[in-house]
Order: sequence, then structure tokens, then C-alpha cells
Amino acid sequence: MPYRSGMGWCVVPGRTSRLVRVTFHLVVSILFLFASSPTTFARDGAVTEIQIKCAFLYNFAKFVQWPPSRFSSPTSPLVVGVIGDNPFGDLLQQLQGKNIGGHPILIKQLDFDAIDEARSCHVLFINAKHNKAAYVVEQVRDANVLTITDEIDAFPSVGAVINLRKAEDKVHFEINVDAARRAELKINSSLLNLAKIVRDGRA
Amino acid sequence: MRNHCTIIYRVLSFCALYGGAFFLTLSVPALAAPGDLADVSSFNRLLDEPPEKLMQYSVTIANRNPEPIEQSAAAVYVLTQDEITRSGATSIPEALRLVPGMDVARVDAHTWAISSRGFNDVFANKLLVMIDGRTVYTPLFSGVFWDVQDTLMEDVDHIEVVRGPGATQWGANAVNGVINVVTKSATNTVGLLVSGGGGTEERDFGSVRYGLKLTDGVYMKAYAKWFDRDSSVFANDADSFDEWSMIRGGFRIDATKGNNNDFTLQGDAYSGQENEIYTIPTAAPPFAGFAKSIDNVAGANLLGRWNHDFGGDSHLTVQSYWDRTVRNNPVLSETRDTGDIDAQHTFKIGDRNELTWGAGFRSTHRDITRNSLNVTVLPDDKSHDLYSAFMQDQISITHDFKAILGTKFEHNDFTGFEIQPSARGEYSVRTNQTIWASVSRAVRTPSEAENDIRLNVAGIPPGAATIHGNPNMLAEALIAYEIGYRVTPIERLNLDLTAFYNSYTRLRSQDPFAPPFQTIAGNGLTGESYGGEAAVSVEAVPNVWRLRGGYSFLRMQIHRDSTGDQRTELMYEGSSPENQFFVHSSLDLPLNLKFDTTLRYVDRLRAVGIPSYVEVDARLAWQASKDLEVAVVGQNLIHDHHAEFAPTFIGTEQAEVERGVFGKLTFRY
Repeated sequence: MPYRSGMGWCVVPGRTSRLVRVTFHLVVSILFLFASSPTTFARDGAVTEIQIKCAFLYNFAKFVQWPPSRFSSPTSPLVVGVIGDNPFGDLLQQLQGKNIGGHPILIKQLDFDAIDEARSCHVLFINAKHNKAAYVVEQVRDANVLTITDEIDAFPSVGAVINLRKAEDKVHFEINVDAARRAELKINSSLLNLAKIVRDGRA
Repeated sequence: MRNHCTIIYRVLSFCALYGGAFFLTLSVPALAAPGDLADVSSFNRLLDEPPEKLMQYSVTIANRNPEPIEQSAAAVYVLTQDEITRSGATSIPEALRLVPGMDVARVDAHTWAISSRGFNDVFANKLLVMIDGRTVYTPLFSGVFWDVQDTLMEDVDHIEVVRGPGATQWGANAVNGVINVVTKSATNTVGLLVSGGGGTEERDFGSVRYGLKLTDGVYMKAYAKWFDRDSSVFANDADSFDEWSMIRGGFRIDATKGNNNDFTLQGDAYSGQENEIYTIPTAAPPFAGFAKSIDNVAGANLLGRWNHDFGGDSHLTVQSYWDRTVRNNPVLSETRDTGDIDAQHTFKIGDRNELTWGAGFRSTHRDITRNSLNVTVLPDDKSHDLYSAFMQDQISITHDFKAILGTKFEHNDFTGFEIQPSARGEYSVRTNQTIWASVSRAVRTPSEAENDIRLNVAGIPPGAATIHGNPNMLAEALIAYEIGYRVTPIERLNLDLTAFYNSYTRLRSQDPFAPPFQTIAGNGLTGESYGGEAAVSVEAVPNVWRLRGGYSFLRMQIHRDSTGDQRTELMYEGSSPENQFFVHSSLDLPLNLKFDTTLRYVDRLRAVGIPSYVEVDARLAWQASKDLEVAVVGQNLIHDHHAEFAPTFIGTEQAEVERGVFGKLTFRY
């Protein structure tokens, strides 16, 4: 059988590519010059607090029922807003387009003065401290919005529906059932079972 | 074996270069860039988890399994990226040593024999291996050329391994196991990753990956890597001339469009050189000679996938790929092209039935570019087609009990129609225990070589003892019975036990053919195998010390029908270890140090004359900053060198695996 080379179309690495390797090692070492700034690890495969909190954002929407009037059609979007700085970075975009009960998620990032837009959200993550958060909650109080706050100590007095808390190394959440009733949201009992239940002004 | 001066020079220059760069880093904090790494890793899978699961994730410890093992009624094991990295494994075959029940043996520097539940061989033919859904076993011998199955190790998201048959879903060849290497989505790899290093066996290696967001919902990454690995040694310490090097590059684009469409387009190309000494037959006495060769291997592939969500638990996946492999060596050279298209649709009927059905078509074309006196495969241009369809129903009979019934229908060019059904049941006892059982049938369709080969062995006048392929070969068939038990008796301790009984018929044999000693491939053997596997993981000290372990036991009994041969019978019975275990310890120490050790024991292999052995790997890593990790890895530390397997059919060298040490720097930004 005659020998036909099938290798014409590819490059074969050989011992001659040493120059390439040395150059590579040099480039790598120069890159290390720009590496540093002390520890906060974000490694492949590790789960971070922000990832879990962002996943909760999505999860909560799955376990909450809005009044039917809040959706113009069975396929109209479910709007998830973040008011204040977005702590989730690119993760938030991962939620975009995900489907919850036929409603595709639409992500919106809002400034604190965009109250009308905030009122149109189904889920509103409020990245603010106590007073400012309470102000936002007040503005959307009667708009059937699932308001979520992050690490607020006097959560019952803010009036938001859900508060995310990291305790030890796990992420938990509190639900203010009075706030949920005010917003006319039906929260699935399995979610309530997992939450720490609070009421207005009481722990 | 390399000249010691060269090694010392290599290690010293490596240390000087990187060490110097690193201390400069420490002394120039002004240059430090702020951490802005979008950590979207594993996030997409978190989204599918219920809130009670999310609440269980520990968010300070990194080495947690991001994906609980699928609750499917099969012997499934998922090896995570973290476990692979921490083991120090530099290739997919080496990573598979960390999976309970996998039998991994290195024949020489670039050749592995890998199987599960018996029948191990360089040409082991009962595993289905996929990389991102692309089938990589070659129809030439129904086995895997492990040397070219590679990717950026940091890109591997996880490796799913199913021991036992998976033929109902995956089709022919998924007889004793299914391996799927799943790489990370481009959405999870934004940023720059550069790593490099070198040492004694892993002489030098390096890789770069860059991922970016192209536009809203569209992400892309590309990578390139190379490695240069040292030769092994013969038992007498002499260099065995099997060093190899490879370069490889690839890309992946992941896009989300509209409400419910996901697209993936990915591809790789590689090229490498492998040294090998062949013992080949010659026409004149002594009818044997040596051929020292620098073999060339190369390949490329392109895969596209579309996921569509219809809503209401109904989704469709359509996937297509093209794959080319090129292997050039003095014994047999081949260029092969494979095209495949596959569709799968899952939907629910009522609350209880989740139906999945699919269909596929694959065509593979071989072009044998060199035949030799040693091996001839004729005709040298040939195509084979495979049509398949499958259907599976997962029935939730009660909240705690579910049954999975399904079957695969396949039509191949060798044996026509094949049916591969299975029935599985799974029962959850309280929340911490699961019992499952299954009965399934799987076939291993004949390979092209089994049909078309003519093989002459060295040392015998060519023609006198030729092994002939047989176009009338039938498919090997298996009926497998399995049971399993998973339990979490106390928090942080997981136990997974399986037991199996396999009954094989029509196993390949080498039947007498023509005088004086010619043989022909046949189906003259039957057999049973039974055994079990145990997998344990325990977080001995929370956030500090984690242990994983695996033990497997295997017995094989092969019988000759009227035709089968004793040689093959003994090979099947004695080519896989009866007992095997490993323990992997992961310690998170103060000062951002991580220390991992793996100890493994492999029983003797009677058929290939390999004694039992114990080996230890170790890895010490220091996370110097958010972006930089420095690691030192020692492999096979106990012996100077040890043998793990012996060549079969093709007379390549029997090399021994040497102790190896290397250093590695990984930079992420």
C-alpha cells in the first residue's frame, strides 16, 4: 500500500519550538507582575455568596404568585429590577430570558429616582441600607412588587418582603408575611417553611 | 529518563524565571490591578436548584461539590473541576483514576488502557466516551485513542461517569460504562487564564484561555495549550523512547437568544508527535524487527448545539458535529471523518410521566493511508452509517418511587438492527437514603478491524499465524443486573454502594481458521462477571479536611463455546484488577495553602503479568494572591518506576511509569 501523508494540513510541534516556549514563559512571568491584591478567592467550581444570592433572586420568583392583573398576557415578561449598584455583575444577565411560568425574565437596572420603573417591576432587589431601602419600599408599597433587601439588620421595620442574610457560611432569608400580604403576593408554603418568618416591626 | 543536568537546569531556570517574576509582583503593589473577575462559574447549574439546596451551600469553602450527584438509578459518579485540579492530574485519563470503579493503566507515556467492570485492554472496547456530547471512541476498534482526548484541564467543568450499561440512552458501545467530559460554558469563563510550568516527566507545558462577552447574552472563549512529556523507562531503567508533545487550540461560543433558545458552537484542533518503538514482523528470518518511529497524530472537530425551551417542562436539543482524526505510524495510518446529527426532546405527560425521545444519524469514513506487513485493513476507503432512535419514560409512581423504562433501536452496517432496552427503579427512603435497581441489555457492535483486519505478529513467518477479521461477526451482548444504595448516615458523610451481575454472550474470540496457526475473529466466548463498588466522601473537619475514597471488586468467569480460544478467555479473565482502591485527602491549611495526597492500590493483572502496586500522588498549592496560584505536584512517588499494563495485538514497547515532579503557576484575571 503506498504511503500517503495525511499531515499536510496541520502543524507539528517539534523540538524547534523552544523559542515559542521561552517566549511563552516570559509573557507569563510578565503577566504575574500584574497579579496581586490580597485574598478574596473566586475560583472555578467554588460557589460564592453572590452566586447563591443571585440564584435566590431567581428562585423566589418561582415560588411567588402575583395577582393576575400584574401580567398583561400569559407570555408577557416578568421584570426583575435591581435598584442601586448591581452587586451581581454579569451573573444577573444569566437570568435574562429564563422562563418562569411562561413569563420570560426581563432584567432592569434602576437608579434610585426611577420610581415609576421600580413600580413596574415584579421583583425588585434593593441594594441600599436601612433608611434608603425603607424609602424605596414605601414608594412601591401598593404596586404588587416582591421587594428584596440584602443584609438589613432591622428588616421588619423596613417593610420589604424578603431579606437575604448570610449567617456562618450559609445564606438564609427572612420573609415579612405582613409585607407580602400588603403587596398581594402569594408565597408558596414550601418557601415560607424555609424562611425565618417576621411581621411588621417585630422580629 | 533524561540527563540529570538537563532536568536540574530546567527546574532551576523555571524557578528563577517565575520566582523572580513573583517576587517582583510582591514588591510592586502599585501595579496591582483591582479584582474584577466575573465569577459566573457553575452559576447556571445553581439556578436549577430548589431553595432548600441553595441554603445548604457553604459559601466560604471552595471545594464543595457544586452539583449533587444526579438521582438517577445507575452507578453514577461526578468528578468535579476542583477534585481534578487538586489531584494534580494533567490529562483526562489520569483524572479518571479518581473515579471509583474505573480501571486506568498506563502502557507507555502516551498509551492508556481504560475500562470499568473488566475487559481492560489497550484496545478495550466496551466504554462509550464523549467530550461535550461528541463521541470519541473510534469505530476502527470500538475503543478510544486516549492520547488525543484532551482539552484545557481548567476548562473541564466536570466528568460524569456511569459504570455499567447506558445503552438505552447512548447506544451501542455503552456496555460497561459511559464517560462524558463536560467543559465549561463560555459564560462561565470570562477573563484571562494563563498557566505554565515544568518538571521531570511533565517537561514543560503552558496554556492560555481568554473569555469575553461579545454582546448581550453572547460569550466567547478561546484557548491554546501545549505540553511536552518525557519518555518512560523499560524495566531495566533504559529510556523507552516514547516521549511526546502536543499542541492544541479551541474555541467556544455560547449564546442565549430570545426567551428560550441557547446556542453553542465549539471546536478544537490539535497536532502532536509521539515516539514509539514497534516490534514488527519481517518477511525473512528471524521474522521480527524493530521500527523506531516518530508517529504523528492530528485532528479537528466542530460541534453545534441548539437548546430550545418550549415552556412547561418541554425542551428540545439538536446537536451536530464533525470530527477528523489523523494517525500516521508505520503499522497502520488512518484519516477518519465522522459526521453526526442527533435530536432529543423531553416533555411531561400529566404530573407523573416525563418522556424523552430522540433520533440520530452518524456516518464515519475511513481512509487507510498506510497498510503494513503487520496490519492490513481493507478496503482502505470505506464508510459506515448508523441510524438510531430511543424512547424513555420516567414515571413517578409515588412521591418516593420512580421507574424509568426505555429502549434504544439502532441500525448499523455490521449487524443490522439492535434493540437495547432497560428497566430501572428508584426508591427514596426518608430524605437521606436511596435504593435503586436495574436490568438492562447492551450490545457492542463489531468494529471495523474485527471485520476487515489482517494481523501478522512478530517472530512468526508472516501468514503462518495471521489473525483474520470476520465480516460475519455478531454483536457482543450483555444483560446486566445492578443494585445500588446511597446514604448520608450523618451529616458530611456520603456513601454510595453498588453491586452488579453481568452476563455476556457472543464475546469476541480468536477461532481456529487455517493451518498452521491462522485464526479468525469469532463470537465463541460467553461469560459472567460480578462485583461491586463503594464510594465514600467525608468532610472530616468542616472547611479543613475532606476525604474521598473508592473501592471496587471484580470477578470474571469466561467460558469457551465450541469455537472460542483459551488465550482470549484467559486475557478477559485476567486483564482487570480484582481489587482496587484509592483515598484522596484534601487539606485546606492556614496561609492559603492546600495540600492533597492520593493513595491508590491496584491488584495484579494475571493475563499481562503485572504485579499489584501502590502509588501516591501529592500536590501542595499556595494561593499567593487572588489571581495567582503556585503549585508543586509529585506523581507516582513510591517507586522509581512501575509497570501498569502490557501491550496487546500491536507490538509496542512495554514501558514503566516513572516518578515525576513538576511545578505549575496559574494566573487568572
